[in-house]
Amino acid sequence: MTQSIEPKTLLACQDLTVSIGGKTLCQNWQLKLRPGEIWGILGGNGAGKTTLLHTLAGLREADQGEVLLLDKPLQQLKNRQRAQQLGFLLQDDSTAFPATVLETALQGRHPHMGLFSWESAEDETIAMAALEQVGLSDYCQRNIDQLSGGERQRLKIATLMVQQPKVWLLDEPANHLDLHHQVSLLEQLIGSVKDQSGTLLMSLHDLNLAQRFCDKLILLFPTDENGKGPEMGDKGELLTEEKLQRLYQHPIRRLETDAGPVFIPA
Amino acid sequence: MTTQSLETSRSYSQQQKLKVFLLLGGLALACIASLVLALLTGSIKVTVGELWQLIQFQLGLSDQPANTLSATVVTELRLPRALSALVVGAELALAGCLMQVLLRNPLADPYVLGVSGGAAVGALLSIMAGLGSFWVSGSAFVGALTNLLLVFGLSHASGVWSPSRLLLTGVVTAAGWGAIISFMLSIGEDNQLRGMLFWLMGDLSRASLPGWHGLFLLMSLALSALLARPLNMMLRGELQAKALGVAVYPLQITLYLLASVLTASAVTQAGSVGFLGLVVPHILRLSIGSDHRLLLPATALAGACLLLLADTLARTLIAPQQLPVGVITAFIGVPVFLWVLQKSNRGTV
Repeated sequence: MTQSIEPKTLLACQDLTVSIGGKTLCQNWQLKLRPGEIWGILGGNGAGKTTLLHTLAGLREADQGEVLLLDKPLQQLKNRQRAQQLGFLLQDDSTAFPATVLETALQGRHPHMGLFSWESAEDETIAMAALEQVGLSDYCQRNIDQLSGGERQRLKIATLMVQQPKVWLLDEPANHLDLHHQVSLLEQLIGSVKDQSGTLLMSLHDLNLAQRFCDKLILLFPTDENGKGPEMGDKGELLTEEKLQRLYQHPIRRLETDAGPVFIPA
Repeated sequence: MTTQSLETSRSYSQQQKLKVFLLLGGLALACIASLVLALLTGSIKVTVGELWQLIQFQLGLSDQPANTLSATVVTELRLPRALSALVVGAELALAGCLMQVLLRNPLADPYVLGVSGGAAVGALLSIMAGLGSFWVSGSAFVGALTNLLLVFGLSHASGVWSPSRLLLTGVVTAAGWGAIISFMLSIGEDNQLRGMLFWLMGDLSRASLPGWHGLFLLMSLALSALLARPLNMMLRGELQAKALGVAVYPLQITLYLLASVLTASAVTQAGSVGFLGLVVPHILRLSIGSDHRLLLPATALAGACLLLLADTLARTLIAPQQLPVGVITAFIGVPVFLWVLQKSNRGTV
């Protein structure tokens, strides 16, 4: 699976400063996502998870510093070149215009196709396989506005799988999903990310999913006057009652069970 | 699992190609049929035989000239007007389709950002000054371009650009033009009012050979083939399109300019023919879906065909009196649209 020459860092931040509405999310920040690593971002409402993810994905400009995708600054890449390597799962979607499930999944092939080419049989095979994985293959010809919220979320995940990026950035992938799909889809996603020696960074609200699936975490603490803000590191060091209580401004209990640690709000 | 999904996908791909072939072929034939109908119909009867003879003579296949009166009527009156109708119809429908994606609103039409309002003020000024049709067209075009620059500048003025800002700026500017038009109509002389009203409703009786308008239409169609797949991405939202590698801002600027100039070109030839630019893209979206690789050429062909049929009716229905073609497009468009909406199973739009 692994190619002989792999870049050591897939996505990196150098001296990144991001702020929104006068609030600084991070200041002179360094971050390195390496092949095979699964990262989580935790933080309360309005902590800036989405803004940070959008900046890392090049959907928004950083205040200072730069984001490197496979050692090249994002700003120097064309949108299309970026999208061949970096995929993003947005929180929202739009169904204002009609489209079928298959058409929508096939959009993931866009960055890999030439200007005038039509989807090949191979593209369709990739799309069908992804729809199969998320359990939507029977709905191919259905219009997207006839899907439930959870089904639409699964379709977005399928579109991202069809894009086959190296760097996967996901904004609350567990949104709208039932318990079964939360676990099984994240397992499949992470399986394919690791198979391709990719890396994944997702924002999550569920501490138990973070504990279960992430290797490393970013806790989005607000930046104080000394410039000290988000903390990052291995999940073992960060998922403590003390830190989580400070992050969410709410007491949180960590219970040790046979299935590993479990977090509940007190 | 794999073999079955492969089969489904192959049939999907074949379906799409068959759809393109049948639909575009069918619409092109419909355009040719309505062109023949338009050339034959009118107060002076031209027979199919005479038309055929004329075509052969014009193409140099026969040296037997056709009946002179019929030949003059066809080549100097009906053909220029019919070709104009085709070009204007295609331009308006295409502009409407592009505008709907730009503004992310299925109810947008080519006039929503005030292009026709600006053109109308220009045209009515020329009519009031008693100038000829060359000046009327010219000043309509200048008015349309003025609006294009005005709305573009105003919607960018604060430095933050978004389609909803553009829509608001355009709608309010259009309302401003509307007020000026009402003012001009209320002070216009009685003998000019009829001409002014016909211009506002859309009228092809002054149309000449489309010339550079036709050339521009062909260029726009070629450009829209380049834009088609990025446009599909835009339907799922700007950010989603950007995440999938579309350069969103340059695309939006291109869409705005292309849709505005197409509309300017159309109103310069025929005045503000209503309804076509809203209804034709909409009917096609409801019946064939939103893949712009198919939708854009289909919309152009359907718009061309519909406007030519409407214009043929407009000049024959109560002949010798002529109706403004805009009245007929609404008479045809409203029931057809409602019928398609009832039959549609593509969900709510």
